[in-house]
Amino acid sequence: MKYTKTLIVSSVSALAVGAAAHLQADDTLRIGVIGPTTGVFSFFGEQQRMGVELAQEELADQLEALNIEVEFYDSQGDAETTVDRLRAMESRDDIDLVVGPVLGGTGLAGLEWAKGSGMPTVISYSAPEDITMRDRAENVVRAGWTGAQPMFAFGEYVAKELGYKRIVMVGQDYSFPYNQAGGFMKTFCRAGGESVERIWHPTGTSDYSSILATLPDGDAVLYNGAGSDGLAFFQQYHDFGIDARMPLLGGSNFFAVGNLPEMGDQAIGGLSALQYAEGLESDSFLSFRDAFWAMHGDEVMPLAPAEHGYVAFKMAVSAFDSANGGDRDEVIAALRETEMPDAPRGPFHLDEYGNPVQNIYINEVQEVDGRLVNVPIRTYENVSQFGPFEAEEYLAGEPDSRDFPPSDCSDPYYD
Amino acid sequence: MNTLYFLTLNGLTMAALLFIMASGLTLAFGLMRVVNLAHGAFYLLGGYVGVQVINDTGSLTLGLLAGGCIALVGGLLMERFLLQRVRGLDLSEALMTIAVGLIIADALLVVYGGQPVSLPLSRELRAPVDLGVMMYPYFRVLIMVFALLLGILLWLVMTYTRLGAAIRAGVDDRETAMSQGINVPLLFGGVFAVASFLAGIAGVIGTSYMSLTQGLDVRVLMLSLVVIIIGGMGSLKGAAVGALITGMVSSFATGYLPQFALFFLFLPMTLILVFRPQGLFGRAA
Repeated sequence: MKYTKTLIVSSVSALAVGAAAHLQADDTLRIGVIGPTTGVFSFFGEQQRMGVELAQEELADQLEALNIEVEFYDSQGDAETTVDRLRAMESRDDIDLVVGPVLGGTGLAGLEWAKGSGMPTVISYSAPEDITMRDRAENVVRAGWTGAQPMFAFGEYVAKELGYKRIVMVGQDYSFPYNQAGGFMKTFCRAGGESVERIWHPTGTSDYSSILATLPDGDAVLYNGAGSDGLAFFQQYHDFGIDARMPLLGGSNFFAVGNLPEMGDQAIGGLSALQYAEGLESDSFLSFRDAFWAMHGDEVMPLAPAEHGYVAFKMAVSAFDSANGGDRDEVIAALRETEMPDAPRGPFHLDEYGNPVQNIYINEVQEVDGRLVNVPIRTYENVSQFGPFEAEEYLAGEPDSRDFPPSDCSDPYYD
Repeated sequence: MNTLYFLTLNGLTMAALLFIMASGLTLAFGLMRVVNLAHGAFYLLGGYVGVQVINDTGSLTLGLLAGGCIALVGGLLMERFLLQRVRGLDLSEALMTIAVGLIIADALLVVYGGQPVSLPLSRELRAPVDLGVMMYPYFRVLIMVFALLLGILLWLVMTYTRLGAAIRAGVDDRETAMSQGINVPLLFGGVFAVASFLAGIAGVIGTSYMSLTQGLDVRVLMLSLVVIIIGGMGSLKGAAVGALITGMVSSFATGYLPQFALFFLFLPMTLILVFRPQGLFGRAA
């Protein structure tokens, strides 16, 4: 048994040495882009792919000068497939840097793998906060966000600007919505809110009529989820006319990722918060959007996963550029120093944990030129993944869960 | 008090949808002992095609018919060209229907993508009407009325027509029925086609309030199976009662204990399986 283990270890290290030698002999740099381009979540992967392709076109000269090639991989939205693809990238395809994964679960799987392999990795849309917090790794940075990050701003906005005191939150019962709820409540309660009552339903619930029938009273309802659950909830919320009683607010993905055309005009006026808005009017955003439309056609709106893919790819190329080639440690160091003063979403830089410190926009759904878009109506600048809190204090606290933080704002936790 | 009515009506709406799904499934099972595990995929197929037709033509009726018909064609093809070849082999039949279900769902994923879809309904249909006890969306009332009419129609056919008598004979004792000159395989083909048609229509109807998405096929199939297990496989009355029980339990559980909704949904089925395995109205094998 012991012998076998030694054998495995030595052959693995022999392989590693061989791979390294192979890498040195080859001066092509390869970036592997991974996301779900088929399957149920293909919308996200396709958005990322389109964003990366746009960045590729814009950086064509630089890619040639640095001898960078790009390969696309399909994660199918599945954690196991993601790890298989990542292994293939390293051992078969000589990839030097990974952009992605896109989804929450695949991001965590990718992180575990990257820790073992040491591969420089730029996570794009995947938002579990521990990727750049409790489980952070030196070689992994993120171009996107954590679940709580935009909600820090939203909680404060809802309490201070909208003046809502009691929020009823209906959400999908898994970790990402817990994190969104956590971010929201931590600022909402400290900015004058009174309570946030949470109702969790199993993911994949399609009939919300009975949740709506027993909905407690409050100043507003926040739906903390997205996808088909979000669409069904939205539809039924309006069918039963509850919008006349309490306004409906959205979690970050509710209005933001692809459901707006299906929601229709009833979505107008809907508020949510994200580090991105397709209704931005800044020059850097407009030129990004126009170039995206020129490349992919203007029936596809570039949404956050597209921009995050675009930006992640640019971060990768500029890291290779300043590291003068393929030395892994220098690439990682350059990645961690990333500053993006002119990203389409607005300026950002990475904090020391590798997550962007960026603008958070409070978005309102409006009809612009015949289509529904999220238009920023308020900007919170320089929001980090820790929101208004100190990093050490935040990391020492309990991670967000189904019933943490407490739903009553007068709880001593909020003092 | 209002909440009670609200939950009851929600339960009835769900029961209506489940009955449309389960009535065909249970009759097809009664006749041929085939549990069609592709039934959920026919729901998905009918839903996607129906919604597309409604988007293209603006006609709800056309959409409902298109959704039903495409599922009917699918069901007929599957029965004629696949199921007949493995007739009598329980495991092969079940596996065959699972395979067809997966293939249909995957093909739909390729054609329609993974983003959820909703049904555009006119404002008049979505508007609430006064039911005496409370206001309730008009289309939900229509779903209940449709299921009720369907139930009555099926009951009349089963009770008063030769066709119904033949189906009942086939359900009760297939061999004897065949020896009496009833063409059970042909009958089965017909029932199977009608069952698929109903699943397709249910797909369009259900999309009026549940967004249509990949994975819904399995959830809908699961609920239909719960219904026919509670009611007793092969029994129309059982499907109606099973749908009512499942709809009500689901509505009240989701209303008061959303986190345990699934637990309560499967609880009646588990109890039935333990204490009365043949179902409420089923016959012991």
